[in-house]
Amino acid sequence: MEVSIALLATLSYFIGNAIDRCMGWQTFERPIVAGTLTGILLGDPETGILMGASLEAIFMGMSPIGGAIPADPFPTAVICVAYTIATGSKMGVAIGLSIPIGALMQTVKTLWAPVLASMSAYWEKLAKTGNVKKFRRLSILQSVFGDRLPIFFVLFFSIAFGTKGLQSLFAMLPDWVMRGFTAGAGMMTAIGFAILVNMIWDNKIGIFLVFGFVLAKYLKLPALPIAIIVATIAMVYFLVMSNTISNKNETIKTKPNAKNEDEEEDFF
Amino acid sequence: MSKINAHDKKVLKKMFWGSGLAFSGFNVVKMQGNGFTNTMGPALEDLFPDDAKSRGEALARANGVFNTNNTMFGLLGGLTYALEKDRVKNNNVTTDTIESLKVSLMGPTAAVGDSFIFNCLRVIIAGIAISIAKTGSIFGPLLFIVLFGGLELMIRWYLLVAGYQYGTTFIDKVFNSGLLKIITTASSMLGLSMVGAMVATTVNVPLSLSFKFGKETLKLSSIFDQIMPGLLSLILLFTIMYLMKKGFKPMTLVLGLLVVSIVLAFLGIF
Repeated sequence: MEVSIALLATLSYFIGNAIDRCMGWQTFERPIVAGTLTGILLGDPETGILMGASLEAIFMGMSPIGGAIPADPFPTAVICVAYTIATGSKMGVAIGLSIPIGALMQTVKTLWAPVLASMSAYWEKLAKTGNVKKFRRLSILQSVFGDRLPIFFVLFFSIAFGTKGLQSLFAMLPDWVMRGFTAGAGMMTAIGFAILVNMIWDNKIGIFLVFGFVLAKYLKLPALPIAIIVATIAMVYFLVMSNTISNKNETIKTKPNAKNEDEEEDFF
Repeated sequence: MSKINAHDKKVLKKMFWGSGLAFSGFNVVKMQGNGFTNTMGPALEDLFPDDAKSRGEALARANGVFNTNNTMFGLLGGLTYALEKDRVKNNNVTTDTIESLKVSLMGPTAAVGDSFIFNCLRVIIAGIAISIAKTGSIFGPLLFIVLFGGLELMIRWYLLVAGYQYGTTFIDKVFNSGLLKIITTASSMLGLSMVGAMVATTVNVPLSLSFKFGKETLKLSSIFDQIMPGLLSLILLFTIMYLMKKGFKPMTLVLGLLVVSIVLAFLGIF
């Protein structure tokens, strides 16, 4: 039972990885899609979708940008959904464990990095031959199988042989530990968001964070209307500022022509 | 500059699919070098149909260190194709010019690509998708695939054509006019607001502690809600941001949060 679940879960990772890496996407690797795909393959799409949504929020800020990330969202989503479906436990348990699991997965990736790095000399030699088609063929193979090879095994074995142990461990724990876990899972989302906000934070526009918060909490607006409202504001900012720039460039160009400059000043 | 004819379009299409392998063989030595080699492959096949040696030299240059946002493969690929073509046909560009332009554009294109595509567009689409998926509907993830995946493809294609067609004039217009900073700031406005909205709906501080005053019970959470609903979520977010700035690793904070939650649950506060 566990083995077939582990096989199907690994398959869903394999499929998502192959699609993303051949399309140049960062789409199937996101928990909202990865969780759903795993749920569908394991015959419980709803659990997959619901957990995918929660994990997507937790891992919102964790992207490969800037090199080192603390946790790898993709295999984590697969494991969490597989564990929940295999054991029938509460979603909060796996979600509470998601970032530690993700950190473990990230370590596996880090350990694999020297192998990938050692291949770069071969790739360069291959490029020098000018054989474009062979380079592409091998790149596709590398994308589908090579780049994430150890993750396939780690996923399979941890789901096949780890879920039982984890389940019996949780069964022994008192109620308040579980309550604490679920509470922690609900707040963990803030860590993912904090990473993201620290990346894009700018004191001058920090108020936009609170603005979005207020629109959602007080006006109870869904995500799309909020996006449209803020997009409009951002658009106004963009138009005004780009106009200022082109005017400035124009002024520099037409400086000798004093009359022209006057006209521009009148305009304001 | 020039109009794109049917032949160019065919080459650009092949380059577009080649750029799909953007992350292939990613390693710490060449980063996305293999991805860019696959992007440039069809272009170099077109420029050197019979001369395997020159093609190999150009392909090996494309295999150099490369790292940018995946949609920006289009822009840099199209631009490099135009420059390589100029070098072969008119001989007025040197390989040094091409390489230094490529290297100097990686940083800025990565910055604008990541801030607009990954930290703005993706956050918005994920925000909408999450709110649908939370009801258990498959349309959430589907929307994410179609919108985010589709837009990534569309932007990459548009930038590929633009990079080829307008070449350096396009780059000048965007990167040397100060437009870049404005796009980044506008993207950040959107990104921040969406995060704010998602903090409101997904971060949950489950205070269950209550005090008894005679007959009346006073819930601690309702005191905070009277000041501002969800105030605790915002405080939590800003505290974590502050701790990260102070050098705490996310992993430490995750474990800390779990321990604190379990302790608070034991004390009956959660």
